[in-house]
Amino acid sequence: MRCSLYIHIPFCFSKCRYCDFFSVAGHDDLIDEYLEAVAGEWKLYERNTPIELTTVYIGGGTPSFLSIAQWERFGKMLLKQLPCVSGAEWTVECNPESFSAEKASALAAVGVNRLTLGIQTLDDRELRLIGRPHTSRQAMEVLDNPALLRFNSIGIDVMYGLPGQTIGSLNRTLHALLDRPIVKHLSAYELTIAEHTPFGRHRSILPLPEEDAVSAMTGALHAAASDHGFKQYEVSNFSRDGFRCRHNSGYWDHVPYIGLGCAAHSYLHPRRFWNIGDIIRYCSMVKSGAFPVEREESIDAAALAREMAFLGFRRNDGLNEEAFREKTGMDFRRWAGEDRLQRFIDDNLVVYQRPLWRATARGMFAADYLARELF
Amino acid sequence: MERDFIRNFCIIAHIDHGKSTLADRFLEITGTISKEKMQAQVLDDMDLERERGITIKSHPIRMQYTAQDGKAYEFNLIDTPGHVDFSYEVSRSLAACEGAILVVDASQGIEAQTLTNIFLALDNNLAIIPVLNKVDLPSAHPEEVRRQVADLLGIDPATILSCSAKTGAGVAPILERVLVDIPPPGGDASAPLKALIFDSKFDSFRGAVAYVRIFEGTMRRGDAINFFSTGINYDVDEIGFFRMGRFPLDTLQAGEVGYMIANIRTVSDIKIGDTVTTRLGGTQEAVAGYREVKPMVFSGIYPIDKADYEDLRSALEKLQLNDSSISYLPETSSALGFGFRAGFLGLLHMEIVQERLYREFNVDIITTIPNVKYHIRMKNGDELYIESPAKMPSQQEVEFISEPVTKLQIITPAEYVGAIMKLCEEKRGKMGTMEYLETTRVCLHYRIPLAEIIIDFFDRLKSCSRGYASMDYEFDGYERENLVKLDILINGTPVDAFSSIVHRDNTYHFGQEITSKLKELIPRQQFEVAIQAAIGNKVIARSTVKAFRKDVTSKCYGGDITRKRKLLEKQKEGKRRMKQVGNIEIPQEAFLAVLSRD
Repeated sequence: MRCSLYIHIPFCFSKCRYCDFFSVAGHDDLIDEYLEAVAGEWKLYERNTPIELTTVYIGGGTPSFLSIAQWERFGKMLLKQLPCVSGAEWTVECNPESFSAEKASALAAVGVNRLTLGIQTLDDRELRLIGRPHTSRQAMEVLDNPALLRFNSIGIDVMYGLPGQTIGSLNRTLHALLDRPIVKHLSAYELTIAEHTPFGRHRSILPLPEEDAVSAMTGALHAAASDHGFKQYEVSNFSRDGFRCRHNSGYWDHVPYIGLGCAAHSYLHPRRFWNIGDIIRYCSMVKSGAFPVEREESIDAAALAREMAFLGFRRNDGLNEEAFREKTGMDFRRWAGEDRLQRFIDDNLVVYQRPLWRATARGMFAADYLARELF
Repeated sequence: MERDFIRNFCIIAHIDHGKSTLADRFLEITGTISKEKMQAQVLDDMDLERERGITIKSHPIRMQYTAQDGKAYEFNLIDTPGHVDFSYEVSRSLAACEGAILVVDASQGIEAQTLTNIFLALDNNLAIIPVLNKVDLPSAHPEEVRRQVADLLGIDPATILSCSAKTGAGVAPILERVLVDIPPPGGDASAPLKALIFDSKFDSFRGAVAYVRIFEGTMRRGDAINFFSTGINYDVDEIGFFRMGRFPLDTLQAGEVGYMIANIRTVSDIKIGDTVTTRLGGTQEAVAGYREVKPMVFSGIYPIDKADYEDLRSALEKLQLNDSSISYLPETSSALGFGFRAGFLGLLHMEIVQERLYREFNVDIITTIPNVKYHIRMKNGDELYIESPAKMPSQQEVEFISEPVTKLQIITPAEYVGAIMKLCEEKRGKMGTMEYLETTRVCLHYRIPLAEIIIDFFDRLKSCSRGYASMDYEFDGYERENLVKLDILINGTPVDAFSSIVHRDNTYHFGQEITSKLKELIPRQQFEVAIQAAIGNKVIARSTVKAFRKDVTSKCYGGDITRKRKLLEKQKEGKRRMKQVGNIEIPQEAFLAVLSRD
């Protein structure tokens, strides 16, 4: 089976105030046991079927929070044995506060060829407000580090719509980062406040930018990306030519993927399932030889159609009606309704070039609207 | 019982002046109920009534009173509803009596409702026994209040009794005065039957239980009876009197008060104020004063959850069994779905019904802003009454609109007169006379549209007088006014549910208020949304919801595509609950904010 692999490293130096991913801070004592369990979970898959990996993505949490020794052990236990196809993309998320040239070498040594840097912003006040443990100076030092040259691609993560953020500060962040030739990829996410996070609890006192200001930031983001030769290929993702993230694109193309680790999601058609979000229970389940799955759902044709639709209108590649028919067995136009599609075209939200239905620039700003209309 | 040994009387008082507490003491003194069994204020047996300190349903209670002359008398205490909304019901209860005890709180003095009650009692030719209550309170100023009451009634201040219903001090002499001052009932037990229905209650086993006062003749179990107003016939199953429960008797004679059960399952057959007589050889003459009760205030009642519609209907049915003055009809609102338009006697009545639906029947409801019944004269000469602004024909076809007007009286400490006058002016009141009850207390008379007092008048009156002013009003006919229909248009499409009838002078302000409220509540859409307030074709206020610049979340979700899909599916569900007007989606909350009362 050809598929992608995601590995979740749920450990962090500290928990950011907006974060609603599964991660923990202050449980460093669990790391070694956890890495063993991840390797154990992989064996559960490998036992069943021969696997070929086209992409590997190690995310978090903060994967770079692991020490060099831990990376080396993890390499021996699992990473070096992963059955990657030749030319496979292999990404690890790194944060500036835990990055070092030595760690980068350790990663390169196990086969990692792509790094993404969780820089978020270069404004120290904004960094403090969102609870990131690094400074803008640390971030820039990482970008200057020659160790980055060992990787095929460096991506950066940026956030906008942050408390206290202005168009000016966002522009400074973007231009300083995108100016660097080594930066090939940009993920730019708007701050989304989840209820059970510290931000969710104190939302009313956060100096959040107004809706119109956030819109303007989105505009600034597009302008800055394009000024520096980055092309948008998904609502939140931009890259220089040839440097799209293949792993994430796979998610959006419904390629199969295995997720290892706590709270990781897997999709082996038609099953999508996710692991339990509890490190201790996760470890003990794997030890007992059971898949540590919390829940699963079956992606039927209806759900698949919806997903293809909403993902399609978020991407420059659009929705391919032939792929739609092949995967869902349904005719896209009939499923969506000819009238509705015509309305989208008339409203300049969507363009059609056989066999692709693509959101226009305006349409991509309304991708959720398009999805709600079609659901 | 010989008529000479019967006294029929009631207690009239402003809210909280101590009517129910005094009734409790009477029941104790006469041994009608033991002190142990005394639940505070036994006469008010609905929680809600006890909480609000008002009595809604009257319960006649028969007491045996052994007087100073050593003889036993039959005292019938008829409880009366304590609020202006029920003034017709009060008047029917008073009609069943020969006398009334007028209770005035010695610390509060005369209030608006005290006056109304005095006038009602005088209208019904009742003997009035004034009593000052709460004389033991430190804040009491009994001498001053005594003078006010004496002035009002034109009597000697020395004849006014004082008591503390709470402690019981001074209560016994009141009963003796009832015996002396209130005449025994008249009537002839052998004359043709003439009985007044002054209230009724529904018993799920026995049907309607009518409370009756026999004016002439004798009512017997098994009598074939006939109701005057409806002409409907029944056979009497049971008659009797109330103590703490029903006590059946074989006959009720002229002068007596009691109940009648005749297997009446259709509550609307029992009309308060109606006359009961025998089918054969009955009286030709009805008890004077009957009128059909007409609702004055209307409001839409909708279930919050559509699935509760049937529950709401059955709750309303049950409520109507005990309160025939509620009327309701199914109504469909383009905004709120299926519900009912209910009519009430007044604002308090409406509040009580809504509260009971919520408490006793556990139905979550949305109630719309109350409105009155408008009379409309069309240009083509047609005339119609509408109970819902949404039903109002378009402004171009209307010749003029008339609205119900009330006579309002407000009693207030003199220092608040200025603020109250300002409020009344704002509410389109026309001032009548103003009298000083004493140097520091003033009675103001206004003619004011009912529509203006049913919304926030009472709360504002209380707040501009620090709670000291009291008010009372009565319906005083319809009056032609410069009223117009104000429509709300969303991108040019009028939305029925948002229509209202407003005085022309207030349209601008009102239009501004609604359009700016809606602007906050209607989410940004693909297109700009224009919200307009218009009279006929003339737009008088406008606000705009800008088109959204983006409607896409750019959150990172990795392989968790399920979560993102489910979020969109949930939003789609939310969208289904929105009301589509043209190509604009209006959320339920927007309708609620404009239509419902806070």
